[in-house]
Amino acid sequence: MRRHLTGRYLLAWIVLAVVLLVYLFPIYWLIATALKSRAEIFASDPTLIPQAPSLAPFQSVLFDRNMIVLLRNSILVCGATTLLALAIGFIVCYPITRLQMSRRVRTNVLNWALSLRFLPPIAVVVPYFGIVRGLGLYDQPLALILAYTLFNLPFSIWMLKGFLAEIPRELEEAAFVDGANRWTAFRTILLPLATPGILAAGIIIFAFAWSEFLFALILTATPRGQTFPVGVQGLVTQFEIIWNDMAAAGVIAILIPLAMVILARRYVIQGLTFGVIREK
Amino acid sequence: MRVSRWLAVITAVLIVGACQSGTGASPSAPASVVAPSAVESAGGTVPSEASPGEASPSEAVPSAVASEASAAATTGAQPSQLTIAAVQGVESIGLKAVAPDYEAKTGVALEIVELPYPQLYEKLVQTFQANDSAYDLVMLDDPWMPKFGTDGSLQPLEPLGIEKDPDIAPVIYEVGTWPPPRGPVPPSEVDKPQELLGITIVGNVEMFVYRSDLTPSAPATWDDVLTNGQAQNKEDFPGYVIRGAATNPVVADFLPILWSFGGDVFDENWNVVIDNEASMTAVNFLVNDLKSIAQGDPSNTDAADRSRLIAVGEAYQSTTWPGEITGTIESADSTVKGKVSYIPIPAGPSGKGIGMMGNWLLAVPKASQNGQAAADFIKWMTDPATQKTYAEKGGIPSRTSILEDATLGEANPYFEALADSFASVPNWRPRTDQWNAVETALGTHLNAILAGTEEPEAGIKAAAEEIRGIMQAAGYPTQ
Repeated sequence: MRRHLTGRYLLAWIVLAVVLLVYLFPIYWLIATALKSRAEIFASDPTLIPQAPSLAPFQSVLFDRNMIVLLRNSILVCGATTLLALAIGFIVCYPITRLQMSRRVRTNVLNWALSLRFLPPIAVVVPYFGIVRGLGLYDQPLALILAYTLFNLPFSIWMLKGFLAEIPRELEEAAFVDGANRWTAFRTILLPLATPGILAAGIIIFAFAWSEFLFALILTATPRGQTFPVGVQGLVTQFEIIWNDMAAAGVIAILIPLAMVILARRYVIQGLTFGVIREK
Repeated sequence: MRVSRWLAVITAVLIVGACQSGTGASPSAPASVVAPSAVESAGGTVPSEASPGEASPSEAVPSAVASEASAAATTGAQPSQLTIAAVQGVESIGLKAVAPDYEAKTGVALEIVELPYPQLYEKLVQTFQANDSAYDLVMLDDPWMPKFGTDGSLQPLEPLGIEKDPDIAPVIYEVGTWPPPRGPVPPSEVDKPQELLGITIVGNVEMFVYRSDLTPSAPATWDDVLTNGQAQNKEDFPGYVIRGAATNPVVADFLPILWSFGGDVFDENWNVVIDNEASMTAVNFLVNDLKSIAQGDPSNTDAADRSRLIAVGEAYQSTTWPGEITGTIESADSTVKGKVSYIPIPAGPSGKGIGMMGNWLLAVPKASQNGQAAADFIKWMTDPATQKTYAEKGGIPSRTSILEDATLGEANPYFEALADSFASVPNWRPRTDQWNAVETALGTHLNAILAGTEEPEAGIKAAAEEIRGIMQAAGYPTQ
C-alpha cells in the first residue's frame, strides 16, 4: 500500500514537474533573452544561460526608447478602467442583489451585460473610432478608458453580482435597525465584506485591460495616448527584430500584473473561492 | 469607510492623470521632445504661439477647416512643436540624431512618433482619411506615394519654398513627384499637374553585398553571382541568401532581378507582362538557379534573417538595403566588417543592372496646420551641412556630394555603391495605388514557388491572372 502510494506521488510529481516546465520555460526564455547582448542573440547556436548578462535592454526600452511614457499611460488607463468598471458594476449590482426588483428586470439587465461580452471588439472598432474623433478624444487615454470600461463591464457586473449575492442581507438589516441609512450600511458593512471580491475582480479587469492592443493601436497616434503593448510591437522593424529589447519589454509587461497578484494574493484567492461552500 | 474613501481618491487621481496625459501637458513628455524652456536656456528663441499642450492632435480638425489650415500654412507662423510620424528602425536613426540640432537652432521642438512599417502605413491612411492634423510631417516609403498622391493627402512642396538642388540626383525628386514623370501613369491621374509632394531623407536603393575577402573581384553579372555562389556554397555557408518571405519581402528581392533580366510586372500601357518570356527567365533564375545555392527554406527568410546570416559570416552574398547595412552588416556586432563589399545590382541578360528604390520621403499632410514650418524643416534637413551631420550620425543620405565624400565613405563603405546606384537611375515599383494588392498577389505565388508548393510557370500564370483582375477592377486598361 505504502509503495503504491509512493509510486502515485512520484508519478504526480513527474507530471507536475513537466507541466511546470512547459509553463515556466517560456518565461525563463523571455528573461534570459532580455539579459542577452545582441551579439549573443546573433549567434547560430542559442545559449540557454546568458553568457554576459546585462540590464542594457531594460535601459534601452524604458529610457532610450522612452517607453516609460507608454508604461505610465498603461498604468493610468488600466487603473482608471478598473476603478470605473468596478464603480459602474456596483451601481448595476447593488439594486439587483440588495433591493426588491422584479425577476424579469434583473434577468434582462444581466443578459444585457452578458451580451456586451459577446460583442467582438473588431466589429465595433471602426464606429468607435468615428465616435472618438467626433468627441475630440482621439489620441487621448480617456478614449481607451471608456472603451476598456465598456468591454470589461460584463465581467465586473457578473463577478460583483456573485460576491454581493453571497453577503447575507441580514447584516445590513441589523445595521438599519441600529439606525444606519442605506449609504452608511453600504460603506460600513457591504463594502468591507466585499473587499476580497472587489480586489479579485479588479485585478482580473486590470490584467485584461493591460494586454489590450487593438483599440490602443487604432485610437492613439502618439506617445501622449499610446499604451505599452503598442510600443512593444514597434520593436519588430522592417529590417530587424530587436529580440532582447522585445524580451525586456515582455518582462516589464509581466511584472506589473504579477506584482499585483502577489501583493494581493490572499484577497484574490479569498475572492475567487468566495461562496464555494454555501450554508443553507 | 476607509476602503470607499481610498477608492474615490484613487479613481479621481487616475482619471485626472489620464486626462492630463491626454492633453500633452504632462511634464514627462517623450524624450525626443525638447521643452521650449530648455531650448530658451540653450540660446534658442521660443515662439509665443500655442503651447505643446494646445497643439494636441486630439483637437481633430474638421475637414472644412483643414483647407483653411492648409492656406494658413503659408503664413509663416512658427509653431512651438512639429509632430513627425516616422518609421521605427534604422531608417529614422539619422532623423532622431539631428532633431536636437534643429530644436536648438529654431526653438521648434520635434516630436518623433515612431511606428513599425505596416502600422505606419495603416496609421497614415487612417489619419489622412480622417483629415486629422495629428502629424505635421510624415515619413513615406516611396511605394506609398501613388496611394497618397491619388488621394490628394499631401501638400505640394514647391509653393512652400522647396527648390530642386543640382547636388541631388533628379530621380530623387522624380520619386517624390505625383503623377509620376516617367513610366505608366494611372488613368485617373493622367490629367493632373505634376507636383513635388515628398523629399527623400533616406536614400534607399537595393544593392548587392558579397564577401570580398573570399572573392576579390566583384560579380559584374548575375551569371557571375551564380558562378561565385556555386564555388563558395558549402553546408552551413550558403552561396546566396534569398529573402523569400511571402508578399513584400520576396517581391522586393525579386524585382531587381526581374528588371535586370529585361522583364517587368507591367508594360507602358499597364498590360501585365510578368508571365512573358523575359520575366519567366528571371523567375526560373531565382527559383531554380539561385535557390540551388541558397539557405535552407528561403521561403521563410526575411530581411532580419538575411542580414544576420551575412553579419555573422554564415552566408556569401545577397541583395541588400542600406538599412540592413547600417543596422546589422556594418554594426558593432558584425563579424564581417571589412570583409564585405557593396556594389550596385549586377547586370542581367538585358545588359543592365537595375536597382530598386525604397526611398523614405518626408511629406506634409494636407491637414497639417504647420505646413510652412514643416517645409522649413525639410529644407533644413536636406541642406548640405545637415546632411553631413546626418550621415555622420548614422543617417542614410541621398545628396551626391555627401555620398562621394571620401571621409564619410571610409566610415560608410556602401556610400560609393549607393551613389552609383542613384546615378544609374534605379527603378521604382509600379506607380499605382493598386500596388499593395498586386504585390500581395505576386508575392504570395512567388513564395509558394520558392516553397515548392507551386510550379514556377503555373504559379506565375496564376499571379498574372490575379493581377489582371485587380487592375481591370480598378479601371485600368490592363490586358
